[in-house]
Parts: sequence; C-alpha cells; structure tokens
Amino acid sequence: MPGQAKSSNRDAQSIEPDDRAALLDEIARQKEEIQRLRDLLIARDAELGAAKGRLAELTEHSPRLRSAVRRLGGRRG
Amino acid sequence: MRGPRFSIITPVYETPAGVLRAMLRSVRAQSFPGWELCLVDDASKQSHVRRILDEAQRSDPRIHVRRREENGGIVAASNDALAMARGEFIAMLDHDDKLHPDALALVDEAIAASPEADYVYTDEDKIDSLGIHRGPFFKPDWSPERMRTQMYTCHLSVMRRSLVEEVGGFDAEFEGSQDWDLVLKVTERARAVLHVPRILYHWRMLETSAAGGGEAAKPWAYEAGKRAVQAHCDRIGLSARVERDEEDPGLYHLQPALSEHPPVSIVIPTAGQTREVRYEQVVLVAHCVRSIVETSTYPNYEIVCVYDDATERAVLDELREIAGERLRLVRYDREFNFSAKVNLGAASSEGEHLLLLNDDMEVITPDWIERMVMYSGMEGIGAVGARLLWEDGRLQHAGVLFENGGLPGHIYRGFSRAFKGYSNNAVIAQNYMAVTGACLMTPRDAYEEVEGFTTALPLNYNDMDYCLKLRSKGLRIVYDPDTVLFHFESSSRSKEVEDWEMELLVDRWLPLTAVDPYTNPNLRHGGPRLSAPFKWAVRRPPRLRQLAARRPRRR
Repeated sequence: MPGQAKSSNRDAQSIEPDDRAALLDEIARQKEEIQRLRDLLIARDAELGAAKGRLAELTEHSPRLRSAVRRLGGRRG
Repeated sequence: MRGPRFSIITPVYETPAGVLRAMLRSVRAQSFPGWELCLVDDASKQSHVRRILDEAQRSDPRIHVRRREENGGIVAASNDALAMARGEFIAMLDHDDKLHPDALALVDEAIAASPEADYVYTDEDKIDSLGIHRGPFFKPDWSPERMRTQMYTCHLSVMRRSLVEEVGGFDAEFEGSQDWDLVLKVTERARAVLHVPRILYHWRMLETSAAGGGEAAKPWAYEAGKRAVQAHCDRIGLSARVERDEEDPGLYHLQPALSEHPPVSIVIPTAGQTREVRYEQVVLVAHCVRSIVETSTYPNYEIVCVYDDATERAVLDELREIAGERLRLVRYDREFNFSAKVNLGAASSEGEHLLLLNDDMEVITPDWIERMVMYSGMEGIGAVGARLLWEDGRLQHAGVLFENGGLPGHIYRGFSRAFKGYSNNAVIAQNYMAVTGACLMTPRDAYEEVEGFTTALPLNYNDMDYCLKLRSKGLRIVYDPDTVLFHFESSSRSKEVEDWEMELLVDRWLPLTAVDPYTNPNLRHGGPRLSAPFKWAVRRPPRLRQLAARRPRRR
C-alpha cells in the first residue's frame, strides 16, 4: 500500500547509520537464509523427482509382473 | 563347385564336452540344409575335444575340422575357419553356444526377400548354468549410431563372405572385440543390413565367457572394443574420441573432437513469457539465452530469437544485454504458428547447422553444441536430439517411438534420470524415427531439402512431421544421451493435442510409421511408452512350423 511505503521510507531515512548497517546486515543474512532454504527445496524436489520417476517405472512394469504371477499361479493350479 | 549358402565358422578351444556336443547338435538340427560347419581346434590339450570333433566330422560330410599346431588365439583360429569356408555367407557361432533349429532357415528367408543384404543379425538370449534360457535381447533394426556405442547386433551375425574377405577378415589388433571390428568394417560397405526379430541364438553364460563373466572374464576385450570403434570413426571421418562408460563395461560414448567449428544458428521462437523456475520468477527466453551464453563452449554460434508482438520491450533489451553481438532479433507479426516462426528464424539466419530450441530450456552440458555438430556434420544425418529433463530431474525426452496406429510417444517419459532403459537404450546414442523439436539440430541442407517445418501443423507434431520428412529422404535421426538440457515443459502453452492434428500426422505418414524399426515386435507395447518386455514365446511362422514337423525326430 502506498501509505505504508511512504511511512517505511521516512523510517529508513530517520535510522541512525549504525542501525542502518545492522539492518543491511540483517537483510543480507535473511537473503542468504532464503537462498539456503530455496536450495533445500530444490534438492528436495530432485529427491521427489527421483522417487516419482521410480514410481513411474514400477507402475509401468507392474502389469507385466502381475501377469507373470497370474501365469505362474495358473500353472501350479 | 558352388558352395553352400552358409559357412558356420567356429573356433574351438578346451570346450567342456557336454557344451561342445550341444553346440554341434544345434548345428546338425538346423531345418535349413544348405550349411557347412568349419571347426578350428586351436590346439586344445584336453583329449575329449579331438575325439568329439572327429566323431562330428565322421557323422556329417558338411562338418569340417582343422587343427592348429599351436594355440593362436580367437582371431587366428577364426581366420583359419574363414579360410576353410566356401559358403556365400559366414555365420559366426561360438564353441559353447547354440543355434535355434530354424536359425539358418529364417536368415535365408530374410536374405531371399532382400537379396542385397550383406549383413544379417538376429535376436538372442542366454543360457545359464542350469540350462535355463534368460535375458532375451530383442533388438531394434539397424541403427548405425547405436553400433558405435554398444555392440548390440552381436549374435547371431551373418555376413556375405566376399565382403568379409574384402575387409581382410578378423583383425588381430582388436582381439577380444574382433567381431565388433569386423561388423563395423562390413557395415561400412554393406548395401543392406537386415534384422530378423527372432531369438535364434543362445549364448551360454559361462564364467569364462563375456555373457557370464562380464569384464572380469575378458577385460582386454572392452579396451579392444574402444579401439575398434575409434578406428571405425577414423575411417569414416567422424570427428570423435571414443570413451568407455564409467559404470557399464559394454557401453561407450563418443566425445566430439572437431577440427572445425562450422557456424551454428540457434533459433528460439518466443513470446517472452515468464514462469517460476526453481522458486524464482524468470523470463523464460532470457533464462534460456543466459544459460546458452554462460554454459556453452562452442565458439561459433548466433542466437536468433523470433519474437511476436506480445513480447515486452524490456525482454528484448535484456536479451541484447545477455547475448550482445551473438543475438539476432526477428519480429514475427502474424497469427501464432510455431512452424512459421521456426521457418522465419531459419530464413533469417546464416548457420550451416540450425539448432531449434524452445525458449523454456536450460543448457546442462557445456559442449552440447559440439556434440550435436559432431552428429549433424555426418553424412546421412537429418536431425540430432538431446536428453531432456524436467525441472525435478525426471526424463522428459529420451527418444520417440511410433505406436498406437502411427502416433508418437516419448519413451520413458517421467522415469527417473537414473533409469538406463531396456538394454541401456536410454543412455546410449541411437537412431529413432523422430526426436523432439524442443532441442533439435539439423543441417541447413537437409532443412532446405524438405522445405522446413510444415505450417499446416502450427502447434503440435510439427517436429515429428519434420523428422519423418527427413526419414523419407533416407536421412537418419539421432538421439544423443550425452547432450543434456533441462526442459521446463508446457510452461508457455497447452500441450493438448487436437484430434485433427493426430489425424493429419497419421494420414501423412502411416505407411512409414505403422512399424517403428527402432523397437522390436516381440516387445509388447501398451501405450506410447516403451513398455518393458517380454513375450517369451516367439512364434514360428507357419512355413517353418511345417518344416520342423517334417524333420525326422532324433532318438
């Protein structure tokens, strides 16, 4: 909202230089943390992708295996 | 005197008695009578070998035996057997393996139907120590690109004798992979190569054989394989260096060794759309172009972005900033038509090779352009495709097969990137009828010969149609698994295929797409994916069943 943005701007201008440096440090730390969490998410997505891929392979092969089991069962019977 | 149709050549060395007898029985049981068996005993010390071979020779005038004074190894013994041969064709049989009773009959039938055949191969399986048949290998039809990364034709191999002699027979330089070397040399000159999709050869898994012991049994053979393929690449002028696969001893990879870098035009149709990629909102085309500029090692390329009026000016400015002088911006101001955009980009570019690229891509392999040029620069190649991964690493594209009445499907779509495929077909280079146009390199000459993309297919299947046009001109399509990119698929538009698009593709190409030569009729297909094997019972054609019925029973 424009009103809030103006207010934040005024606040930033009134901050002491030491506080300003600390704030910038904090923002940098937060950015790093966001980056770290993003990397974690990407890694999780890759793990999930591998699992989904494996599931796709098994789903693809399962009718064949079921059919083989059925045939073997039929022979025993 | 005219020789037989087939000379079976078999070097013999210290073969276990039962195994040797089984091999001989399988030859004598052939339903096709026009054969001779050329056996060369490579100075075996075990007395049963001599005894069994002598008995065999006495029992059938078509069996000939020669003994070497000294052990000379597989190549020397094979060449001795070759020197004995009088047949029109050479069939290679190892001393511990077996032929199917109809092996020669079916090969003969195939040759009779295609008299220009100079090389014929069949499907095969293995026999384990309990005598159980395992691991059937249902092969694709002739795939020269696959033959450079895997000795997939293997057994049973039958070659025209005159051609075998012309290339100098078996070469001692490639001992252990002398058969691969010979097949490469023969197929370089062959008028036609045939594949008989029947299991006609049974490869015994002994610890001393490559079928059973793997690399441990014959470590030198795999190095010899690498040398054989390298020699083949050098002979045919393919600028490549051959490397062995790090995990699988029977697989090889070609690395580009280009002496020249012809100009390449990367054509990217775009509408400048944005999408979330890895939890960040990005302009797809800018992301794609940045990855090309930052990752590629190829020195001689231009990027041709074909943008439409919806593309924001800021996007074009960003592209100029990323790609600088490499960039060429081409405005497209007509109704949306992907094919027309591709054609406009091609017409506005100058490269010797065109690299058609969707804007939702990210390059992974630094030498991707070199790799594609390596193939695209070869005579007889129409298009080269890549291995594409979704954002989460799953397979998006590893080749295309035509099934379901002539409709294409991506094989292994959605499988994990670690999946190697049936007989490793997801991780080795090979030919297909088509590859996706999301990343496709094509020589400009070929592109112009078939008049580019078909504008009657504005959205879907224009890439399939393009590849089929190339195929109809006798050009090969290659899938290279070592060229890898991310594909943030379907981010820019719907992938729904309309009925009329399917009908148009089928109507245009059905005779060609009815039977995809890069799969095997024995592999059951339930859908567009390459369903896993198998139909074990390989039915004999009626004529051969009659022949088999007439064969006298053995007591």
